[in-house]
Amino acid sequence: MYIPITVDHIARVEGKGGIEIVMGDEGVKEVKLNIIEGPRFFEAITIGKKLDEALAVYPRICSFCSAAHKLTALEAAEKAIGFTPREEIQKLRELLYIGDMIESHALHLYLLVLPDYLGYPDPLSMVDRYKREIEYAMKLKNIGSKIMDVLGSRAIHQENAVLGGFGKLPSRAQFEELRKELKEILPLAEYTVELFAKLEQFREVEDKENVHMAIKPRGGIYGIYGDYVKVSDGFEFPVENYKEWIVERVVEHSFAKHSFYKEKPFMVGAISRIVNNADLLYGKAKALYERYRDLFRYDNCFANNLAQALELVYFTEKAIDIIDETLARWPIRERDAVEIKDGFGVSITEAPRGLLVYALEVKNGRVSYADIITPTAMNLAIMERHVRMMAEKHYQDDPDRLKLLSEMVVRAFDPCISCSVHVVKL
Amino acid sequence: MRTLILALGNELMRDDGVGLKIGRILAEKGYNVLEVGTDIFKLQNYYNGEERLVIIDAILSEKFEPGKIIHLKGEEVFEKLKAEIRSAHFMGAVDGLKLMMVLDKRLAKVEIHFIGIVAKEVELGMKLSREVENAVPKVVELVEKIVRS
Repeated sequence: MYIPITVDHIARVEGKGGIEIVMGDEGVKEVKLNIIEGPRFFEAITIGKKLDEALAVYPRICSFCSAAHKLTALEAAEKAIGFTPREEIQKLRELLYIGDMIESHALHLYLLVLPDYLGYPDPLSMVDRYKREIEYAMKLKNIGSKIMDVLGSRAIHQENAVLGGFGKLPSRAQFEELRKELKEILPLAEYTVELFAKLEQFREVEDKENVHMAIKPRGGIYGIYGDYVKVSDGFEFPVENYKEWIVERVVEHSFAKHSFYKEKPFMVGAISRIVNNADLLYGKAKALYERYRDLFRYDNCFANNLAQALELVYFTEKAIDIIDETLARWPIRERDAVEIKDGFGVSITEAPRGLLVYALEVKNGRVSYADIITPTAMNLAIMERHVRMMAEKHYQDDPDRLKLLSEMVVRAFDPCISCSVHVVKL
Repeated sequence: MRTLILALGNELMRDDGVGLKIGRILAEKGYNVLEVGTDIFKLQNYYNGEERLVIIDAILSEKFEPGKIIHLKGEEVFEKLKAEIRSAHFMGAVDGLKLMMVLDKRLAKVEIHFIGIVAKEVELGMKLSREVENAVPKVVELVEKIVRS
């Protein structure tokens, strides 16, 4: 028996995407996750381009993660040419990145995860009864995108983040307005934690073998940038050694390579950050973490939803703190001169969905090598394992139920496949 | 009547970038253009109560020839367009627009135009196919006509 289960439509014209569960005589025979991974194809486009031109291409990979792609590429490029940005510039880049984090988590939690739990096919159908939740989603999303617009640019390409700093910094008044709006949405972020703490984390996918990977944040405060990757088994490695520990392998059924750590699948994302770095949280997020400590389970991928909710609180507070620090140092010089030298640089940052790797080599002012690994690619192998666990428990259920539960597993990982096309069909 | 032009697409995928390219031409001519890429929700932050929205995007069609320009108005937009993408991360542009119309009463009353250009090549690359490239000036002209009406 062959049950094709679609995880919505995958944004590609050719090929198909989704989950396929193949049944044998004794239950589940095979689970295949077919997700086409866009960035893999985009590395090639930048080879031979001038460094600044290449840096303008990377954020175009995905409108939703444009800040993550831009800022990770920028750090890799600056490492390659031997430039280190000033601390205040680094903080403002983290603020820009936080905009991406807030926007992405809000959309994922309220518009994708919540309809599943409330029994609606999509957010549009739930708006009559759950208008407040949809409005919260939009308010949270809007502050995230406003941060990106103010610091990154109105367009979708974050062109204001440049080698050496920023093209232009926002005015003091713009920072003050952002701070005011961030303070206003903090209660909405806290509500999100309370809401998602009530949602079931399906025990069918409890997996004691789960291994989580996250950045070891610079400065000892929970965050996005770092120079080492932490693994939940206690191991750490410098980002430059990523190829030794994030081993990519071609698998027959997928356009995207799968990633392994010590021959096993691993997980990245909000819950991986919490598992590895919860001791580095502070403020309201720390208190909420303590209150719901038992729900932040390393062995259940559904805990990723609650971890994202907690991060909405954490990153909202952190954004306010960064703005306060910025205003205390005001005025700030927007950038420093850079010299484009030959070199090789690796940056690994925490994108909303987990670790994002950029490795760039620069020769004669042009990109001569590029390697990008997205969090979705890293999570593919473990996603498949957990869909299989769910399918093994429910293969005799109603196919619609099996389909929903399998989709919920995939959604818990928050895969991002919008990197490719989005054309409408007529 | 004030008009906001929404440019959709991904310019790394050849013809899928046609909406963005047309949007930039119109922006240079001084029209009110917002590049939303694949994130229709960006509209929320920049919507200033304009009475008319013009959405420009690439479309896929087995019925129509590449480069053909499809102009839909009002309810037709929602009836005839099937959102091809509902990725696991976000809603299709048409669904997203509907949701925003429920939340924002001003948007609910807006006059909506959708201008689709039938794509030929949707694959990695930044160059438009000849058919789609030929459609660009015609779409610019059509949008200018709508905005002036």
